[in-house]
Amino acid sequence: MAGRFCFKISLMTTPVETDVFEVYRAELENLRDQGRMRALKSVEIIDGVQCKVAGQNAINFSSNDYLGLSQDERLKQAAIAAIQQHGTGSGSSRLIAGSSPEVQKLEENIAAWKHTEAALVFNSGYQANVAIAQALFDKNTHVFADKLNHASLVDGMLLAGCKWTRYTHLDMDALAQKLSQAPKNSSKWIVTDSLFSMDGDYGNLSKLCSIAEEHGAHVLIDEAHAAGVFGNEHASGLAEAFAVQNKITLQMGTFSKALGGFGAYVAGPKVLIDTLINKARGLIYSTALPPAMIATAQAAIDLVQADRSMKEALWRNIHSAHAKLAEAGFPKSLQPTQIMPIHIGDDAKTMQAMQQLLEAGYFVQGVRPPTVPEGSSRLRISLSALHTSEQLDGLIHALAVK
Amino acid sequence: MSAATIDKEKVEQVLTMVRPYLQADGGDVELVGITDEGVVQLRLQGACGTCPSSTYTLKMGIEEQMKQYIPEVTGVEAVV
Repeated sequence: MAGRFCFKISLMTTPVETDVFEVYRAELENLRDQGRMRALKSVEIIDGVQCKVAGQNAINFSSNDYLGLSQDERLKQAAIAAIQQHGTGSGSSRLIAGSSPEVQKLEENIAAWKHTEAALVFNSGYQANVAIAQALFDKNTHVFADKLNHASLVDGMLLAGCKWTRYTHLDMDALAQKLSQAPKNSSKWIVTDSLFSMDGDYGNLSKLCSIAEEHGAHVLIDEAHAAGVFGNEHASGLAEAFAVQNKITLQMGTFSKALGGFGAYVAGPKVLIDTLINKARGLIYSTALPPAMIATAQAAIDLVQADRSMKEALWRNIHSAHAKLAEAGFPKSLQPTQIMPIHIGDDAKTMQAMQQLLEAGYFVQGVRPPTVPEGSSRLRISLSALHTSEQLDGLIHALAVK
Repeated sequence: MSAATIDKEKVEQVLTMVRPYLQADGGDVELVGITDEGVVQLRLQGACGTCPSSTYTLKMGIEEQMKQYIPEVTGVEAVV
């Protein structure tokens, strides 16, 4: 009845063009006015370092495929074999029928790699961080977070509804001071990236762990950008490099960067892994990773421990690129890592510099707020084990003349 | 500046911070001593000893970090 009545009204009135998406269009307009409009550009990966960005051939200095493993024949073969044997999809969530013997074996191997009791695989780094926070933190938890932590850690805290305080980036005195203000017997967690993805720097994890111990706080670190790159013996990340794996409660990381695949994991005490299995909604309500990704992750973890050659090649490039950048007059970086930010500040100038480099044949992503703080737009160079010395020289020359 | 005013503990803390990137490719660093002039003497080990970038690493990486954290440090040098 009501429907028919509305219909008649609309027939009688003059049709007015209304934009039902006006709110969204206005928001996008606003972003465009601020020079902050983002758009997906087509990036065709040709090999480990060659790519085509919107039709333009370029050397890729934007990828997180630090060891070039996404193109490694051994990983490809592992993925293909898993598809041949088990198919393309996992069919259901881990708690229904998606917990294959392969993923369980992978979790045992991650736990051994990270020197923990247990581990759990997630579908992505973002999903893992949000789910870990949601499952382990509540309104009685006090979380102490580095100001430049990844967005997924921030979103996790918001979803968890916990109390949280951010401390000045890498400032251990600030962290200790904030911890000392928290109620003595409250549940406390320190949450931090190990290697910061947009700044390429890391903190003193030894000091962080002793502060945690002193204040009875747990520690969650995100090794997404450090796993495969840091750690002399097992290449498992900065917790290994600082020899603090036994002092960190949870070591989270991904398979999608230096490990060349896709997915994420968290390693730690069995009681917390069991809690995640029971409470982490991102895990419970997601279909498990497909067989190919599990096999790729397994092959990558084996590979980074058995074959040091890619890691050594990456570090040769890191040391040489930092030396060359300093020679070319760029500000020296205190911690040479595979992530080298070139600070520009202004949003538009950053994107313009990115375009100029692209025209010169180098793809270096410009990063603007909100990914980085206001006024700190930058070019983010990321190095690969596969870059040649000539490619590094070429990039630095192009940056210098820019 | 006398070496007595340079806290060895602080020097070791800076080395804790640089070790991850030295050890990542098979190198390491050891504190040998601190001169009366405030020069921190280090021994680069393993892959660092033969790496063509080691001078840069020492001068720009370790020295910069040392000076920023411990203003009394006047320089860093490699000893064999």
